Order: sequence, then C-alpha cells, then structure tokens
Amino acid sequence: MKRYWKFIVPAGIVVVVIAVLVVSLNSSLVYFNTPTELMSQEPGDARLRLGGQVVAGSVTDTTGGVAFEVTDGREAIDVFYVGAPQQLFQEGIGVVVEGTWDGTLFHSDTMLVKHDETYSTDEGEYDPENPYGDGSDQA
Amino acid sequence: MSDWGWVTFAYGVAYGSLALYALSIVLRIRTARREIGDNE
Amino acid sequence: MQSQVRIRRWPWVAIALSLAVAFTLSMISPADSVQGDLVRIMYVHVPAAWLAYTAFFVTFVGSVAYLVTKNLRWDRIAAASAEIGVYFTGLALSLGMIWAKPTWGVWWTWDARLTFTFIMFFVYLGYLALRRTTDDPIARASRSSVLGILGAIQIPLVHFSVLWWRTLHQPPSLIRPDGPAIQDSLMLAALIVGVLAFTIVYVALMVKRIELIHLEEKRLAVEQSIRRPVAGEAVTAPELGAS
Repeated sequence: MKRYWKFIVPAGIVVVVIAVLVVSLNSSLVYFNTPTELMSQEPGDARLRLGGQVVAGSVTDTTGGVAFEVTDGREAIDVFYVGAPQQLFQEGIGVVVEGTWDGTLFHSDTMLVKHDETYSTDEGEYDPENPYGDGSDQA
Repeated sequence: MSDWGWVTFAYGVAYGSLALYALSIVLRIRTARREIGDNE
Repeated sequence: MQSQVRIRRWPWVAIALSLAVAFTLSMISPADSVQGDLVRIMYVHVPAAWLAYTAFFVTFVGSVAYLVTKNLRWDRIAAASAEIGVYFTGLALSLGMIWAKPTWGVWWTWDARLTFTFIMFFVYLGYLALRRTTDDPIARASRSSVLGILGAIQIPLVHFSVLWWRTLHQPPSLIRPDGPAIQDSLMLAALIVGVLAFTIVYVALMVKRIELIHLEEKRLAVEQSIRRPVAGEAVTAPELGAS
C-alpha cells in the first residue's frame, strides 16, 4: 500500500496545481477580444487586444498608418494602426491589434497577423490599384 | 530578410542543431567506451 | 567485426537518407498563396512538434511500464526518449519563432499554445535534472517515472490549447474534422514525409541514446568496482587516555 502513496500524493498535488492554474488563468489564456466583446466594453486607456478579419475594401493607407475595419462576422470595429503593416497584411486575413478603445475607434501601435491553418497555391493577380487586396476579385 | 532568407535560417537551425545533438551522442559514447577500456 | 560496425552506423545512414528525401520535397513543393516561400518552414516546424509529443508519450509509456514491471529496461527507454523530446521541443520552439517573425510580426507572444509549450520544455528539462540527483538506478527510475507520467498531462494540453482557448497560433492543418486544410498534393506530401522522416530520425537517435545509457551503466559499474582510498583513511584516531 505504501508504494501507491508515493505516487498518489504527488499526483494529487500536481492535479490540484494544474486545476488552480487553468481556472485562474482561464481569462488571460484568451489571447484577444472579438469585435462583439469589445462593443460591450467600457472605453478607456486600458491596453486591449482585438482580433478578427480585415474587412474587404476597408483598408486605407494614410501617412503614418493604416485605417481598416476588423470584423468577427457580426460587428465591425474601425481600427487605426500607426506604422507600416506586416508583410502578410491584406484584406480578409486575420489580425490581432493591440491598443486602446475609445468607443468608436481602436487606436493601435502593434499589429500581429494571424494566418489560418489553410494552405493553397491559388495565386491572385497583384493589382497596384488595390495593394492590400487578396486577389480574389481577379481570379 | 527575404522569404528565402528566413527559410534558409530555419533549415540551418533544424539541420545544424540535429548535427550538433547527434555529435554530442557520438562523443559521449566515445568517452564512455574509452573509460571502460572498450577500444573497438 | 565488420557487421558490428555496420549495425552501429545504420542509424546515421537512416537519418541522412530520410532527411534528404524530406528536404527535396520541401524545396520543390509550391509556394503558398498567402505566405509565399515562408510556408516551407512548416515542413520542419510541424514534424519537430509532433516528434516532441511522440517522444514524451514514449517516456510516459516507459514510465508506466517501469512502475508495473520494475524492469529497468523501460526506465532506459523513458530516459532516452525524454532527452530527445527536449531536443525536439526546443527545435519546435526555435523554428516556430523563426516562422513567427516574418508572418505574425513578432518572435514570441504569450498565447496559450506558446505558453504551454514553454512550460512543457522546462518540465522535461526538470525531468532530466531529476535523473541526475542520484546514482541509485532504482530510486532514479521510480522518481523519474512519477514525473514521466505526470508530465504527459501536458501533451494534450499543448496540442489542444489552440482549440480550447483563443490563440494567435493557428489550429492543426493535418488532423482536423473536415480533413487536411492543405489542398495541394505536393504541399501535403512535403508535410507528411517531413513527419515520417523525423520519426525515423527519432528512432535512430533512440537506438544510439539507449546504447549510450548501457555504456554509462557499464562505466559506473567499473568505477564502483575499483576500490578507491576513502578520504581520511590515512589518519589514525588518536588514542585517548594513554598518557
């Protein structure tokens, strides 16, 4: 019987520690807010992460930054990102932007591109009029 | 860095680290053999 | 003698051949429509991650089998596999960072997948450290078996973290309910052959690593059989009460 205790005691401790960690960390394990979730949040100076798809046709290049909309299919949030966008940034791709939410506009200085798990060789034509287009309208 | 630059970097890390790890096993085997006087 | 040498060399030949095939496929497969040539990093990153899971699962099986049978053979398998698993975890983390910088835009971020992989790496480094705390094979085997079993909880935690929590890391491409999310057959082949090649690498490394464990056990036995003078032996105790 004694040799089983040698196993059960550490196992019990580890299971309890993992349970506590996962439960207490559960909210911070969620990496970003969706546009729908952001809508219900108070505007303020708190730094947040917003994630979703870049709305097709919403991208406008301005000096010093890019304006675009991010959607989860239900709500769309206007984003202004200060800086040069990522190499993979384009319409329809997933992004996670970091910044503050003032109730109407999301001010961001950090953008991460969230590419999905699909891979293909369907190349769209590059259109100089629409540099952030995904090429799907030409294909 | 260009896309191919990143790819080269990644494959260099993959194969380079594997070669180093394999070498570490070879050298440890050699040391152990020498210390037990097995010189085959 | 000749055949003995050949037996010892085959793991290296197997590694070189399988990696040559995998490398060729990775380079001739087409570029991705979104990621371009960067997609080729996937053909080493994903196999490294899969072999990390496999290696730690073998450590789990070896640990359970040791506790049931008390046969040290299983402990050697668990130990060898844990070290190789740490190597593959480190490789998957490094390659993931190299892939993340040009695609996501950052080397590292604390999303659930990356965080749990990071923890798993250090837990198994702890396993390797625990094995060095004693020379007694029985104590070492029982202690590390407990950790080898508990550590395995992390394998599903790391793998499914991308489905259980909202992460930056994408979900699996190969094993998913709707079938692989990779349409191009050469891309799919590059990924699958990559996993197979790394599996051969794993098996070959296991063979050599277990050979090393046997040699180290022999070395320890030789060391213990040589009687060394004990410190303080030359000093004779003063005789009290003689004067």
